Amino acid sequence: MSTQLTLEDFEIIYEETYNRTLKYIVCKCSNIEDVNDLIQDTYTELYSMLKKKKQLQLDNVENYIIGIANKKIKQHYGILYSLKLSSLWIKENNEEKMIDIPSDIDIEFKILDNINANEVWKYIKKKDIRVIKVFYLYYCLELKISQIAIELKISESNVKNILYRTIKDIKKNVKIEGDIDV
Amino acid sequence: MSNSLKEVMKKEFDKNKNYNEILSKVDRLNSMKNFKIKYILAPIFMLLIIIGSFMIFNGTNLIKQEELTGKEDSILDIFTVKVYAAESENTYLTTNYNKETEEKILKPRVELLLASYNQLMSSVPGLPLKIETNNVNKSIDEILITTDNGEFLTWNQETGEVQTKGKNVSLNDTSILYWTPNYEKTENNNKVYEQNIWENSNIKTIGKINISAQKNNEVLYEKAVYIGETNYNYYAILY
Repeated sequence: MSTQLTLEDFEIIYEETYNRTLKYIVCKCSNIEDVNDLIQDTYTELYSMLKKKKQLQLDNVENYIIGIANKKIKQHYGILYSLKLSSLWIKENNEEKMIDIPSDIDIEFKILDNINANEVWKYIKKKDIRVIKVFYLYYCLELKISQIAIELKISESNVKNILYRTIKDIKKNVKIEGDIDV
Repeated sequence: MSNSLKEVMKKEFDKNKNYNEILSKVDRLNSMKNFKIKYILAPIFMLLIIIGSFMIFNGTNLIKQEELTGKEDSILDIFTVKVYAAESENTYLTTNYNKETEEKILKPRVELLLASYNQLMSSVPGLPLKIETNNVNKSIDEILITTDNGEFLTWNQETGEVQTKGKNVSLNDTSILYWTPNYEKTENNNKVYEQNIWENSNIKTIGKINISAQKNNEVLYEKAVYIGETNYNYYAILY
């Protein structure tokens, strides 16, 4: 069943689809700093289309917006984006060094409760884009490790590795609340 | 930490902040469209202004002719034809006509009853036409006045001297010319001249006087004064 949209529906569409579009853009972007721009460009285009065409007849609004987002990502990063991204992923997946993850990994994750969140996020943002994506999906969207693996098209163990190793780095390098120095 | 980290991440991609940014971008895009239109139209207007300026200042005769013929008022600035009008029929020109009779500017397609003239009875040599020139800007070389019926005369009111000027007179300054018809030819004039120019259908055209402004031997502007007659009363009209 198709939906008829007008400009008046824009705010509702935005509210309803924002989180999915954000997740898609975060998963597909090459630089976390581009995410807000891409989100804005995506919805600006939707707004312009609604304004120009007065009415849009859509079968699936969410998929339509994801389509716009996909176009915006390709425009933003250029033609070589998809080729470069896919080849890099394959290469990096192969190169990922597996480490022994302790069975009490969940406790390890919770240890970070005492660390200043702003500092942690600042520290994570300096890391590789994969690390940022994994952390965002795990901590912000609260996806399971298996879901993250599907979204980022990497193995579950890879996701665990990234989390475990980055948390260790954070514990080592980021100031714990109450501490004077790191 | 996980909850507060979640908040920090949410804040990074804040939904409301992005919404406001989207609306601002939409406004900026609309402004950009207007901006683009402005900058497309601006050169067109500039081009039109340049072409306009070129046409004004290039000083060709064509342009001057356009200036002259474009408005009736502009030619009236170059030369004016004045006649001596009568308020009623059978009013005759006197020796002192220029003081006793009303002087009127002949305007296009406005029929005027003239103070009458009779070749045998009148003390004036013909129907007076006052051609006033305004050639301060030297936009013309001369005003050429011609007639195919009758002839032009000049008259010195003080000495009474009359000079015959023939059918063509060239003027550079304001002058009064007296036009006298050739009565023999006038009888056949109904066939020669355009007759349907008078409001009063009884008036018959008896003569045509061409007045042209000339520059470099080219006619810049031309007008015709038709003289009509009915029951020995004369009329004039400018075309």
